[in-house]
Amino acid sequence: MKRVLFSLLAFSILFLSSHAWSAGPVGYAGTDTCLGCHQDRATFMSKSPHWKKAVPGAPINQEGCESCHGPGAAHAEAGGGKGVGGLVTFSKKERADVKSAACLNCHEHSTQLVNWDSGTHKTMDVSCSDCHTLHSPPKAPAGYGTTLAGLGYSPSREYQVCGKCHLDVKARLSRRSHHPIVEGRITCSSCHQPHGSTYPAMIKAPSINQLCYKCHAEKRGPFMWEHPPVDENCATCHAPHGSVHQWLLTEKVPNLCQACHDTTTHPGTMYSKQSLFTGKAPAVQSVGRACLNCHSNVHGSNAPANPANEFNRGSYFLR
Amino acid sequence: MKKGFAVAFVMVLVSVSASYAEQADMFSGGFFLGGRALSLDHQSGKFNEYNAIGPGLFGGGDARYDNDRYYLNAEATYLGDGDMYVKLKGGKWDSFKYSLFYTEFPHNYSFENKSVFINPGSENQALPSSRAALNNVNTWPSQSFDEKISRKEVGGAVEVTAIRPFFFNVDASRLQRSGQNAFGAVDAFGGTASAGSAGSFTSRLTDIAQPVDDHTTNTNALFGWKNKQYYAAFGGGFSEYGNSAEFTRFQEPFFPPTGASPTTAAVGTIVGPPDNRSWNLKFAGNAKLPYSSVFSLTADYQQNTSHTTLLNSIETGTQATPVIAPLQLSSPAFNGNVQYWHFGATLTSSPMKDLTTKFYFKYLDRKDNSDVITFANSAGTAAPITNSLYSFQKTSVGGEATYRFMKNLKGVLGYDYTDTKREDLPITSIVFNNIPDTWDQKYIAQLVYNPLDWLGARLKYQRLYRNSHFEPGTNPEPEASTPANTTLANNIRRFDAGDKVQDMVKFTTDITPTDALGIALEYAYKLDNFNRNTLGFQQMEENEFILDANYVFKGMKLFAFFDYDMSHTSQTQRQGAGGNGDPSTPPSPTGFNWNADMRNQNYAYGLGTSFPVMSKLALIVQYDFEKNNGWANFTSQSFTAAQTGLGINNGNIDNPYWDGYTRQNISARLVFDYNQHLAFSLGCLYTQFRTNDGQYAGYQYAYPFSTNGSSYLSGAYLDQSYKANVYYLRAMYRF
Repeated sequence: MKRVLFSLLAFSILFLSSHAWSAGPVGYAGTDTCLGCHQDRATFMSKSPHWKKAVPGAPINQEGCESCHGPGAAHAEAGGGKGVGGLVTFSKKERADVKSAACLNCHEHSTQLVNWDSGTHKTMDVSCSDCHTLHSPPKAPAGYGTTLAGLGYSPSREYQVCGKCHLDVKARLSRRSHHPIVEGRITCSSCHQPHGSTYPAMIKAPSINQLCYKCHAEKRGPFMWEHPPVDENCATCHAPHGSVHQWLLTEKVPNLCQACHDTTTHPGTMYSKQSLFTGKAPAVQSVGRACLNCHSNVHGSNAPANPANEFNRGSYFLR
Repeated sequence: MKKGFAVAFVMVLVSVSASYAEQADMFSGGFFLGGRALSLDHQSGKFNEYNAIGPGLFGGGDARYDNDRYYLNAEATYLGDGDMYVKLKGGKWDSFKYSLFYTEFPHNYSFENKSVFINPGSENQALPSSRAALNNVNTWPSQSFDEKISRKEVGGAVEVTAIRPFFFNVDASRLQRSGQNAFGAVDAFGGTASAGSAGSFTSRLTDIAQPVDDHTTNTNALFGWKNKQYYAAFGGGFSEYGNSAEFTRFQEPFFPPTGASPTTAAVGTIVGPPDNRSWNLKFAGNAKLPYSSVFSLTADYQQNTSHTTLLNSIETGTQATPVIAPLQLSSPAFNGNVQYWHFGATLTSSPMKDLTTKFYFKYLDRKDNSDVITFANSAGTAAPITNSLYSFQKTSVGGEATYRFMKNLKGVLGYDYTDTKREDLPITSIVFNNIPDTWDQKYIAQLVYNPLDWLGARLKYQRLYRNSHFEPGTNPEPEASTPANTTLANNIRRFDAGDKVQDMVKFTTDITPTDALGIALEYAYKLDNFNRNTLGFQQMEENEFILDANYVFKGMKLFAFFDYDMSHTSQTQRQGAGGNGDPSTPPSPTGFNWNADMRNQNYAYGLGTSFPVMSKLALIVQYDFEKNNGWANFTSQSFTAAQTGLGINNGNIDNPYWDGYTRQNISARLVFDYNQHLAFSLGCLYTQFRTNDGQYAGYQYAYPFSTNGSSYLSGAYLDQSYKANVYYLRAMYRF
């Protein structure tokens, strides 16, 4: 009798465990079940790193679709449908931290994400899926600022992704003077670290100037004659995303320069319509490039200074 | 040569890829070849500011290989003369990746500028032998120059993660720039710099085509260790900048128009950026702590150095008798040395459910340890001049608390205190007005609300109080050490280092009622009140409205974008102190206050659609428009007869053309998908840019000076307006 009971118990354990093995973990429906209805979502995914068996932590080596979307058995058993079964669907209504957690489960080890917790994007409820699409290829550049796309000049998709939230920046990138982002030469991430940074405005350097010097090394100096606002913060005079004024300036020259410089000589002069070529008292400080006509080395100079002559001094950024 | 290289690269991509085409799962790619025709009303640097759109062929290709372990993406495109790129990216999934690139593109500023020199753009620019003809632009040497810079960059990077928990990144690049800049050099012989009189032109100026020939080499490496709880990385970088055209010499062209030319042409020198080096070390680390806390620490050190052998003589004297005078220098060379220290620490925690806090400390120190050079003239007739060294320290502490009130409602409160100490140390006994130290207190409140699956909104308010500590000086500049200038200097506040109160509001909403329709709306307001500035900026205000919408319906896509941005800056200055720089004193004919109101009304919109015309044929049409109406209103405090004669009074000094411009692009293209591999594209683009700026109206190249001599301008940026039509046909094949 004991043998019979023991055999029945062993058989039951074997039967139940084998049944559980074939169905996968409790609550999971399995990828094949998902694809039964959502085959269209797999086409692009199947070519991505997420579906590479050689990548140890890839979803295909775990629970497949349910690695990111959560257990789907309830969803499948209910016959599917939007909002059915408590899946993580990465919709706008879902909490950003819940959506991001699905990604961070695996990508937490990424060195790109070490400052995610300190970054502004996390604070502002931006989730990974707001920027990254996994089930479809990146969309071709389209929309405002992309008229050159047919000619082969196309902004990166990145600029358009960032522009979804940063509308004011997107508008400035097409202003008269701008960095070549809409032309596809640089991207937002050339300067910013969207995954979080301990630096201001999530830039990729401790200060704005140190960031700008990476591409504009000729402005790095150090110069003998320094212009303090230039050395402290390029953004005092320049609007890096774009400006209606030339050279990305925050205000038109000469007014921008005059905001800091006023003496009894020309810096305090009212350069109005009358000081232009067509005015009654044209002034070289007003026409064309205005102050920059003469103060060409405004970013700094190593030219000598003649104490007996003020007109060709490096100290005034004239040479 | 480069074009050939690009074509060869594409051919290699195509042939290699085609030979493996049967392995369709692993190989994909394509290539395109096109031709362009261009109709341009005149050469304009603005038309091709960052491009090289011209008549001729363009093309490119890409190939992608991807097996279960390795991937390789190669891409090459030739877009025009001096405009191409080759990129290669590859690696082993989750193990390592590498990239190589070569890019080349122009940065065009201004085309067909004129020059009084026979060899503009060279390092020794000479006047024609017949210098008497220089006062007429039509008799200038026929050489013109384009202000443009060609950029060629090559580089690569490797990232290794296979040695997890360790990782290693290294990158290197070299940028080569060549071209020329327009550089204005003021007359070295004493052209007056005071306000003009009727019909005159103040100061004499020569535009010179300054050669640009430099390179920048950057290398960086980062080695680190990361597990689930800790992260630590050490890195460093080295950057070297070399300038092959640091000194540009030119013959001074000034001479009395009716008299004899100077017996000796004085040679002036422009000094360009010095060779410099920069190296840096950094550490970054973080640790996960209890209460879902993360503590992050960063430390950076950077040292920038430069070296210039200083010129020990300088042109001076008079127009009739120019002299190259020796200078007495305290050192024959200048060695620049600036160090940056940066520390940052951040603690992010979730001490209780739905509450997240962040506290941070940041410190940035820029210390200038450069050489101090004193310049004295041999005759000892003027006080020596010494450079000053600018250093500053910026310390920030702050925090923010984020609380989730409901599932879809989140609030953020933040505070930031930033203390900036500035040192502009004059080494001589001359006392400058020190740039003030400032203390910023910033308060931030934000709401993030996503009440519905199709509706989200963000609201942000920020107030900044900036207080400054201004120390009145006694002698603002050695040459201008008059009581009036001292009073002026003590009344002006540099706008970024003066007291101000700033308010910022931004509201953004995203509406996606259906998967096919997306709408984003934004309103932003910003007000800077420089409430303690007697002279300088008084107020800056900006209002902006933005709409961005997309709609997809049965294969048809529509988009619309609208941006309306109004900005206003008001400014108060004092012209000629008239012996009294105090702005509160009554005006005199030679000393009076004036105000300027600068307004910019910028609006931009874009409309576009793409839709199937018939089977396999789609039409894409797009229109972008932008217009900036800029004007300035100048108001003088004085109405003296002499100034009224110059038009300086309240009635007629407004300027309606102050950085006004209009830009519009219309593009249309037909895309015909012959089959799943082959497609053709036929398109046209009309693009127009028109400036409306008083600074360039009535432009004169050789402008007579009030007493003698002329200014010799180049016409730089006179070429900005353009109209262009581009037609193109492109064939694309994908496999």
